Amino acid sequence: MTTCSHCSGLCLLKAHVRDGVIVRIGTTEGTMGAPGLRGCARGRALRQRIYAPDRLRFPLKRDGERGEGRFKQISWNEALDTIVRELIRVKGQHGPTGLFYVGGGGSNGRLHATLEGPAERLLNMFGGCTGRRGQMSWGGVTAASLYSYGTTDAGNDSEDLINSRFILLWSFNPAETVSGPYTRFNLTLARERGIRIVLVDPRYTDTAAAYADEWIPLRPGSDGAFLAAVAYVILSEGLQDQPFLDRYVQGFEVFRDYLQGREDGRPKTPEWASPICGVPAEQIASLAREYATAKPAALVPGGGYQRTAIGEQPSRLCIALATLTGNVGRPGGNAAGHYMTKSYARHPIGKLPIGDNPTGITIAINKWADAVLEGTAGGYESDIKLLYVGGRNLLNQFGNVGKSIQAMRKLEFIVVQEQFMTPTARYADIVLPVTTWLERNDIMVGRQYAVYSPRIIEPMYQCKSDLQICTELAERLCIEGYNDRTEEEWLRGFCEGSDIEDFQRFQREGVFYFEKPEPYVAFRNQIEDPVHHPFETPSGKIELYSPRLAELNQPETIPPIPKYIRPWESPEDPLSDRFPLQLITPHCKKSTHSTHANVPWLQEMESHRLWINPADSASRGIADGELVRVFNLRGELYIPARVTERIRPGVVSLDEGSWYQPNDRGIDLGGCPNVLTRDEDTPLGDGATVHSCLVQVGKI
Amino acid sequence: MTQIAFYFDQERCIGCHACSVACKDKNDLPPFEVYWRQVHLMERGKYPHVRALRLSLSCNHCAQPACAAACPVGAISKREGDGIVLVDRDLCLGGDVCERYCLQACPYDIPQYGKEPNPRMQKCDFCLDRWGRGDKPVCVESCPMLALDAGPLEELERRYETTQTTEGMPDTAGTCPSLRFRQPKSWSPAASGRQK
Repeated sequence: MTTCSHCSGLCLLKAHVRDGVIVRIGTTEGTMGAPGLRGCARGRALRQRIYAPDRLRFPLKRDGERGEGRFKQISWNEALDTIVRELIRVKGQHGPTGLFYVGGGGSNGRLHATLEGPAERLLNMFGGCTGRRGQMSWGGVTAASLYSYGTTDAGNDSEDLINSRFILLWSFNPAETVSGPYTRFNLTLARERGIRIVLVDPRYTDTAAAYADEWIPLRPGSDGAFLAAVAYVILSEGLQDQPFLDRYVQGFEVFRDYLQGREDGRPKTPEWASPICGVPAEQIASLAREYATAKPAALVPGGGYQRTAIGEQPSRLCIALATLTGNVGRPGGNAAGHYMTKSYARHPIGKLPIGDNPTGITIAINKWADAVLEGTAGGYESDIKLLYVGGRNLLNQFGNVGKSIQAMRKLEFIVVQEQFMTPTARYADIVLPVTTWLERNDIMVGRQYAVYSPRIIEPMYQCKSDLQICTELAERLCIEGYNDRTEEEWLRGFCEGSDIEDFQRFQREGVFYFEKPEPYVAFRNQIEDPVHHPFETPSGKIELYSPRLAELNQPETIPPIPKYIRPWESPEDPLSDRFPLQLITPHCKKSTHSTHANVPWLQEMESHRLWINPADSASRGIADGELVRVFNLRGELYIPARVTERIRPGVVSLDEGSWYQPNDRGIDLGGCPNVLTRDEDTPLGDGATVHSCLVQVGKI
Repeated sequence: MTQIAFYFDQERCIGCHACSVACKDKNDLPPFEVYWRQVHLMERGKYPHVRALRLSLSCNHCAQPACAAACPVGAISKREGDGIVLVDRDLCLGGDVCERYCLQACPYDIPQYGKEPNPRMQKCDFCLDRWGRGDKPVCVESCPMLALDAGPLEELERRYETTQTTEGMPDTAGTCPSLRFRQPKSWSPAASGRQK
């Protein structure tokens, strides 16, 4: 039994092994009426990733310019000695903040995590480094949930969807992103019960095709205006749950005044929102009535809408709608906040302790390249000289690839631990080959269960695990007590005191289901028994008005109440004269970010293309399948067009994850949309803003 | 004779391709060459009134397989007992020698030829080894939506309310495909626009 260690979906997979080689991938059987935890195409294609001909086989040392891709094989000793020498040199010359580690979603194991795992334990024990804050994925909704509810456990289980009377999916695409192995099937059960489902998204996604009775295509980044107008209609027609607001909510009046225009003279009517969103006012008003009168109703936001310039605000407005209608804490409702962090474990399973970073210095992760380039002279808190990357394709996956390349060129030393020669690894001085999770023992923990993921095959080639590499570095750095246990001893230790009482049985069965009497309803206790269960905010209530945010005194970008704030690089931006199309870069079924993007069985499912509406392709003389150029001031790429009615005119879409492949003029031929996106972050949660991006498309 | 068959719930399929990739994994099929199971996409309508549907299709193990009738050397046959349509790759003349009559005859474009010299025809064999052990084909096992099923045709028709054809399915007259469907409630683009 195993799973995918880099995906929060955490479907269960079986690896069938013959003579030490995985010969087939299977999944749990399930029964009619309940599909078990069946893996998606990515999991089913795992063999092609594990046994890929381009797996890294031995340590490599750069033998050309950075990014050129010329390397020569070296021994582990030479690689590790070089890294140690550079760690000591940079720390001696520039202090510990000259070191910077960027890990990513390459592995979510409790022992071999690439984010908050062995490498950070090593650097923290070595005296610290420049740390990071913020995130790529959930910056906006994390901040919104924390300031509104005091926690990020702010969404109901998908099992609860069947208790809804109306489901509003907001830029949520589980048909492709999975979002927990149960979600797709639970939405089907809801649909088959006749529950009406509406999807708001600039694209008619696979989720729209599979589930939606109605599709509302709005302009990217205009979500806040739409949501504010929905709130306006609810209030102006008296559809709000006033007893709920009186009892559980702080700051309703200030929010109401904003909606009614008492603050800025502009009531947030559907007529006001319509030209911003590109959606008829009547459609906004009728959605508002439907959402407010169907009780209970579940507003289920995905993630894309908050990866925009002011991404906290649409997230706070989703929460505001759930609050206005009293859908918080109720079965069949949804608090509409963050939903990815909940685990049922009553006594959590441990993980490799990484300690604290003694420097206390952090940079916002979405601005890592800017921080490297500008340093303390540019107002950052450190001057980064050495970059240590573990399981993160940061060159490819953060906004503004061009700036990332400049940063990579400026650094004094780069080491990358990887399984493949990614666009990021191409810029490294030393590349270390790492095992996949099938070649080491680990535990992965999800919302409803934990997976014991054993070493199923021997480490491939000369690959070593992240922990093994860091252990050998620690020995050379004379760090005592870094790793004095075997993998199994660590994992057994993680389970001590946790819900898992019988470790051997967990090892044998491969999966442990946390006890769960009924589907989780976020804030049920706070609503049913508010005296003993206040919200974890300073006021103990849901904070529509946040005094903490008011204290920050940045009302233009971080208002104390949720507001629509026009994002930069929106259609109203003067830049749109030259770059009139909005680019979105959604997640897709072919890869998990850039992991799997080199797997042929997945690439052949659907070709990687730029979605463009016929209205936009016709005016440019572009035919379906034609190679086109997509460009703005940050970069340019060539990609075949997919002319389709399934996207809003004025919007183009290119899936994220594909690997950057520049030609000799620096034009990307790999279809990596981040050559175009911006590296700015959201004002409060330091989240990514890659969906606020203006481009032009033309013939080559 | 009992006839085995597939069942496909078009209303449920989300187009995730788990079935087609599981098939590739189980049968060790090379990428960008041959496809024993394919997930087809159909799109209809004009923005914003659009619809998209999927059709997951493999060999239909037809009651009257046109491929078998067309094969000049009798390399394609229906197995006694369960009606699984099998190709004898030793008998098959190969795609360079033969005019690929089976592919020309099949209304569903199921027979596959690889890129090797004089490729022998290949296609879905209903996961013969699994079926022999009492397991369903791997595509059925893989579907996270329970949109696929397989078994004796009569049993499937008892278990589900089935239709003989569905959206995107080529004309089934003549071959009697052993495939039953649940058809989507509506396949009208207007249904996704503003209707209540």
